[in-house]
Amino acid sequence: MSHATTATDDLELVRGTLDLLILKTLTWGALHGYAITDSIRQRTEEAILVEEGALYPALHRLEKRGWVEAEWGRSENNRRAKYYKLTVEGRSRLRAQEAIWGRYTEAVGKVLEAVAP
Amino acid sequence: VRRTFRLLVPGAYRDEVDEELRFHLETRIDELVGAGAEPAAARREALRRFGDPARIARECRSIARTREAAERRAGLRHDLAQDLKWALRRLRREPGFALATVAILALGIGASTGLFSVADAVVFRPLPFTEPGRLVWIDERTPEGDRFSVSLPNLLDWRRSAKSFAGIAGFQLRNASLDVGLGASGGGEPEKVLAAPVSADFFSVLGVRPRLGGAFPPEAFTPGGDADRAVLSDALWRRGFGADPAVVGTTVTLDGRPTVIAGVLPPGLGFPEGAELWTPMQDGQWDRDDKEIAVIARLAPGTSMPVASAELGAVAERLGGLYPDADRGWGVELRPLQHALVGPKVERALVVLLTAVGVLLLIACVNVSSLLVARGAARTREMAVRTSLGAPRSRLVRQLLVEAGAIGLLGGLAGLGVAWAAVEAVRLWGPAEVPRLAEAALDARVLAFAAAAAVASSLVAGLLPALRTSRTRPGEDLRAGGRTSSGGAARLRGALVVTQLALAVTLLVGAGLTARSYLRLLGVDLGFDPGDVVAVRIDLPETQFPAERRQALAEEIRARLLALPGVTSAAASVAAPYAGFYTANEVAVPGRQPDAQGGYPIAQWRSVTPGYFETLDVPLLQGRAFSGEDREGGGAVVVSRSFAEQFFPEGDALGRELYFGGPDGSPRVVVGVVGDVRDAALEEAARPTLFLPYQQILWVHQTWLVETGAERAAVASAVRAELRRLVPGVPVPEARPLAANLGEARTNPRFQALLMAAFALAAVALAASGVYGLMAFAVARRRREIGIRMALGARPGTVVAMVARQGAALVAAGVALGLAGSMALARSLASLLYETAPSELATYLAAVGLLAGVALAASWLPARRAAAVDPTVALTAE
Repeated sequence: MSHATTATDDLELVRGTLDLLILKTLTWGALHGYAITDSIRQRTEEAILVEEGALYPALHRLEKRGWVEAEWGRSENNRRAKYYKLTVEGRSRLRAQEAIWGRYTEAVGKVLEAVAP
Repeated sequence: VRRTFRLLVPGAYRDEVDEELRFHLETRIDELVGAGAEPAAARREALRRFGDPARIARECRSIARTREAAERRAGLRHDLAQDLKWALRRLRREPGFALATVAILALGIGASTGLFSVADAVVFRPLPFTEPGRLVWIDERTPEGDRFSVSLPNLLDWRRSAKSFAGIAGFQLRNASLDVGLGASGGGEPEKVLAAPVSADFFSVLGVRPRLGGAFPPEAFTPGGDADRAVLSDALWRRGFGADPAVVGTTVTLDGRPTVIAGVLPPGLGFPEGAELWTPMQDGQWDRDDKEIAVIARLAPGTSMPVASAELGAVAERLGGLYPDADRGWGVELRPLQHALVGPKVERALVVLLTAVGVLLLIACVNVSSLLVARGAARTREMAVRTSLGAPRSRLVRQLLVEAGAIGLLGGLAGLGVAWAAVEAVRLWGPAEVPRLAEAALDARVLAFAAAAAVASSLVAGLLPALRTSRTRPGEDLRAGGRTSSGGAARLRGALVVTQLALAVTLLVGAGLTARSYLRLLGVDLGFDPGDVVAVRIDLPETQFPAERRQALAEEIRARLLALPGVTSAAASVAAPYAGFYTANEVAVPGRQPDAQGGYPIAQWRSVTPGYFETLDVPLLQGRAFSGEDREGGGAVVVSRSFAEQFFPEGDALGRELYFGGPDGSPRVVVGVVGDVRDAALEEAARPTLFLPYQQILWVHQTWLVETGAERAAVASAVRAELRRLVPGVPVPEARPLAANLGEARTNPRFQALLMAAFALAAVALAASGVYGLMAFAVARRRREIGIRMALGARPGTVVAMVARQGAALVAAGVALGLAGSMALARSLASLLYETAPSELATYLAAVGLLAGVALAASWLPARRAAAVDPTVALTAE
């Protein structure tokens, strides 16, 4: 059971980060979930996306909030796939989140790197 | 595992989430296989990296569902806004139609909202106190079963014994003279204020705390304690003290005594209504048979009214055993405070008026409905085009309903203006005795009512026309070119007009009955003539005017008033007729046995000075009236005719003995019999009354009645000036015509009759316009046919008769239906009517005659126009 608790903690911590990463990934263009997964996994060296499936509820939530919109299209292997792309609202949200994230990590970094008095 | 398996089985996708997740898993498997993995191992690895597909799918689906629902709602909102914009644009293009329908609904919604506002303030809205449902009004009950006020000793015993109450408190209402000039001597002009002496716990029973200062300390109520304190109402504090917070602790002069201001109540929590000042009511100043106090109580938590009633009843019975002289046979009666204040009559009257105005609103809706049907008939072509372009019927119905909604919305907004005017009018001219009327206002509850009325009206008015208009047969309707409208629409309009007529008959009958009842009330034989009499009430504070002084003063005042020029007679009484003051006591006749409980019958009494009967023109039937010689020792009394009949049924009351206040009272001798006087309530028969010489019961309040000649106004001010001179320091209000008291007693029924008449007239006008509209429409539709008939030799008279017959059939159907509805409404009116049977034939005939006349006239105009049709024009027009 202790393992399950850890997983949930990770998820809570990661959820906001994951949203940010998805929005960032989509700035390069419309992508389907599989491509987003690979992109995030490669860039984060598999640190964030422990479960690939966790991406999908996050995508649906972003869609519900109107930050991304979805459209069905043809994938590289010629199958029907659901492509997500950033909305105008999502783009400004991303900019705001990036700024917050920058300040936040900077502040946390300073504390963690501080030498004990 | 099986679910995972099923997810990965190729085949039909369950939904988009299924397809999306499977695309991911299968692409991953392909990739792993491409990199050289075994298919089975690749599948295991893909699943391991993905997580539980079933759980993730569930999560996605739930998010997707809420998103879709939100999108649907937003879409509907957008569509409705679009529809509304279209509807308003369309109404702008037809200003005549828009104005007529909006005005009709504004009238209906406004009248009902205004009346609701009044009814809400008076009846529906709970009293402004904490947990008002637990507040009760307590009366004593006479051995005959009538409600009677309470004596202070009984009240104190109830408070000690009954456990069902969180508190019991008594109060009175009296006129007091207040001098806000500082110091005991006063010095300013004394002002008349309405003061309420209250027993201990009064404020805590109501749950009211002074906003400044505090309530009375317990010692203020005990005999010998300092009772010279007063709590002010918010209004008096503002008016008399300039809302000065430092007023608490200062001294004013109240009825000649220096009085300390103890506190100020918050606004809106004054009780009893009209009270401006509260003073402590000291225990021990009244006997047990001085039943003169009004009592309110708060039920203890968890106690019901029947339980409290039973307990207090047992206490009262025990008191009856302990104090047989005062309490034998007496019981108690509990009523919810709100009911006791409003009274069943006002409540019923308001409910009847609300029903009536509801009927009016219904007529307005039906009228608008028939106008919508007519407009719909002219839009057959538009509907047919839209249907053939693929609009589903539901879409057409929605658009038409939104159009009706736009009319309802505008009607509701305009109706608020009408309601505001109505509430102001009721406040100005409405009956004064209706409690809490001043609180009627357009508040949130009333706005909600108006909104609900507007929505309901839109639906009632719009639904049938929307269903009718949206039913199209594209082929035929388009071919007909929109020239002929379907017979269905005409039939529906006919039914709607009949409905309006029927409802109008109902209102007319109700208004007729109410008006007749009011007219009969005006014609009531009062038994006295208030004609040239002015009345002025003065209250002589016991402290300044002890009993001996009052007796001498009464004689002096009378002599001085009689000496004034223009005064033909003058007299005083404890209360003027229709002043809302009731005095009664037990009367025992020698040789007559008491009833089973040992009680004696109760009769109204009035203590009057000589000249009373002369001033009011009450006829002396036998014996003599009072003279200056009738002092306490003589025991002479005068009785009314019905008193004589009740107490001396064998006849010849003159010279008989009776005991006032029961067998232990002092003996009195009947020296005269006068005619019956109906002086308490117009609707009630004259109460058997015993008149005592003023000297026998010297009450602190007295009303002077002065009969004047021609110069009434001049005499009235001379009377006031004279009284001011004779009783300095006592506020003397203006002398008012006695007829004004009667006028007030008549306001309530007059108000009812006027409102009902206004509703009925509006209903008749609407119904007539409905008939007119339909007949004009029918004539226009039959122009061609009429033209042919005339070309073939029909005389104009025949054409008029033909059209008028059609109108008469509608009127007959409406009236027949309406009569049935009237019976129901009239029955609910019965208890409000004075000597008017709810089934009175004449009223029904008059109502039917009036409506039929107006409706036939409304159908005659189009008939005339039909007869004026020029055949050549009619036949070549199309």
